[in-house]
Amino acid sequence: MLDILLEHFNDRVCVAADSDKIRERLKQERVRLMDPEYLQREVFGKPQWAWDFESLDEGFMAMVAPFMARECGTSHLYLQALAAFGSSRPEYENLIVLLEYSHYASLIEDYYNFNDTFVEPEKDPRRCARLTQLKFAGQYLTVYGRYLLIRNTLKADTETMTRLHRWIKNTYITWGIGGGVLNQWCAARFSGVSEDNYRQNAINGLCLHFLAPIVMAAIMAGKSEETVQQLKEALSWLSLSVKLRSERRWLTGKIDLDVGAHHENALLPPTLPATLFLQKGLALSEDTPPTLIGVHTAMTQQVKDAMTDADLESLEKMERQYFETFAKQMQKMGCAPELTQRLADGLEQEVSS
Amino acid sequence: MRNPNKVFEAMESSLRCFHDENIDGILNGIHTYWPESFDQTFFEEVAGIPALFDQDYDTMSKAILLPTQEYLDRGGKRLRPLLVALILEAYGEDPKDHERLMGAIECMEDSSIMMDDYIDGSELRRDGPCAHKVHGYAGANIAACTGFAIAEYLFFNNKMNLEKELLLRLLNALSWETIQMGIGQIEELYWTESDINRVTVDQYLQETVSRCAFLTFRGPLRYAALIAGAPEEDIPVLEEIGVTMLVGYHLRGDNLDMSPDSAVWGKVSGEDITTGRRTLLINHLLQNADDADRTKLIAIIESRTASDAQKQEVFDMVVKYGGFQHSHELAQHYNELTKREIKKLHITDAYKQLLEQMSDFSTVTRKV
Repeated sequence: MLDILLEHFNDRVCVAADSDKIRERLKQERVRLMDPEYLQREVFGKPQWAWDFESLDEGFMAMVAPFMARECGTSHLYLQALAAFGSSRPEYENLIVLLEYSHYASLIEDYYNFNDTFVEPEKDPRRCARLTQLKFAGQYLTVYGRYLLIRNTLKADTETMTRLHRWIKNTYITWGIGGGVLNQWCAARFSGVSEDNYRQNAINGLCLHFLAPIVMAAIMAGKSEETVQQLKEALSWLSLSVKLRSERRWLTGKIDLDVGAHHENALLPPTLPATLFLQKGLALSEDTPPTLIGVHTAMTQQVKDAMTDADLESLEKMERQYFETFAKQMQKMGCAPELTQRLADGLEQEVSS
Repeated sequence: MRNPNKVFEAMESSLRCFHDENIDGILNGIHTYWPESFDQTFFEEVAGIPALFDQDYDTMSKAILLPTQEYLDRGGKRLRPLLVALILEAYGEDPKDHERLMGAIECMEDSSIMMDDYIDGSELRRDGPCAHKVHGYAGANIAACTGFAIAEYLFFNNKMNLEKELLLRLLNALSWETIQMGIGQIEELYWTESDINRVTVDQYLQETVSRCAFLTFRGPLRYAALIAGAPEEDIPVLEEIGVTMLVGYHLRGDNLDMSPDSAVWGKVSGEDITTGRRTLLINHLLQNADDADRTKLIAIIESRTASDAQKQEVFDMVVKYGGFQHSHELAQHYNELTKREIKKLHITDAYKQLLEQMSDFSTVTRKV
């Protein structure tokens, strides 16, 4: 549900014209996704025997539809970064599909990975099978958009395409590492986790939201590897700033939990308030369920019991420091001041919302 | 770890000899390719982002690398890297110069089979507990998906210093294959989860090929050939071999699941019945059994039973309606198709013979 905050944040950086463009592109793709002729021509290739398109309808589309209810923020960031980098070729907009579908897939994957169904002593095999079906429907969303690269609908050169392939893998791996480590930490009830470990893992887990779209735009704009590396570092600071904001908003009751229901991921708790938990040297008891939901509930309670106004102020100060570091690095790079400003505005409006 | 002699005793002598000559290189490739643990260098290499703070590399290694490592340590047939070695050598390359390629192919396979295991809720893999039994479903899922992507770093980081055009061709092929795997997986899971009883043989074969052909044979054949600089006209032939050999291999696997030939199978027998899997044997029964047997069969597979008595009932029905014979004949047919394609390749007869033996082993004689 950190995702919800990100969507709030992203909503602030959304531009109406982009929204129309994104919606139209997604609508178009949904039609294609269920068109056997298109799929065979552009995505799968001609079958040697026969595809079962009925299973696509029921086993895929019906399952992922609730997670595809609206456009998310990643492609807004991508389009704005493209514009900021001065690279707005229409065919580059095809990547909207890849970004949005990856985002939906990440929601589904989180839903699977942190679902208590699998840790119950008496598992319901039918429920497990249904979740597994959903998980692989999500996985298909992750990979589906890559046909846009294979068919080179982007009309990009070889160098750009290989960089893009690499970055897509990088993002998927980094995000996977973020989830894997968090899963282990929950199993260990956050014992032995340091603040630095937590910060870096937060950056890793958020890679998909901030780094992925903006770096993708930089690659499409032909920015050098050196520039892209600097950009990644700057955006890591931005991620951390948003992460802290998310924690603070959760602790002060400013996250709208109802938003979760629209995404059918209401089972997932909001971001863990781990920064204050670790700073204050708190520990979870042995009877805390070693799951994300269990850890979240216990950690939130402990932090709320122990925190002071000064703690929240210190959290806010840290959050601002991270954002300033991000802004300074962007400025130093001389890279996309419009984009920095847009992200700064988004964050600023988050505070007052 | 299983006794490799037992696993490979069904191989013909010249293929076994080729295996013995190359196994050290294959093992070295696997060992050096898959890291024991993360460090800053490896993290930044596969994640592509700089680390700003200290990372918990121990936990990262445990979460992402260890499950695949456990599968790698248990052995396995290692048919895929063996096939890579065979094709490399057939087109004039020394497999010893490509150990990492062989390692990458096996690591992709081993991280992906974790997915098969938690999908099926399996107990055993290669005589050891399946990853989800040790690390939980989420742990196995994250390790499998992330591990599979990491296993591709040889390609996406261009560690072989390939020409950009060739590299892009390989990366595009990888992406296309993952789309194929994705759609195949959806079909199979949907058929099982929703107890679909209308699956045709054609749909089953298409699903099998899209889900499994890449990792089993098509990928290793294509990558080795492209990297060895095989003639362009051989690439589609090798891809077709990857399909036909896979079909034979898969049919053999379905038969072995229900009727293991020996103790080296290393999994629980009849697991496909417990998971409700619509294998060719089950689909054949659904289409050929009389009404009474069909009704009984549907009741058993929809119950997700682990009962030996009920598995035996299904086994008896498969025998009664000639299912094993039908499956065996189909596997033989695909073995013949494979051999017909092998003849078209621009390689010497000695390597053609080795490929034929590989097809016989995969399709007919393997016990594991």
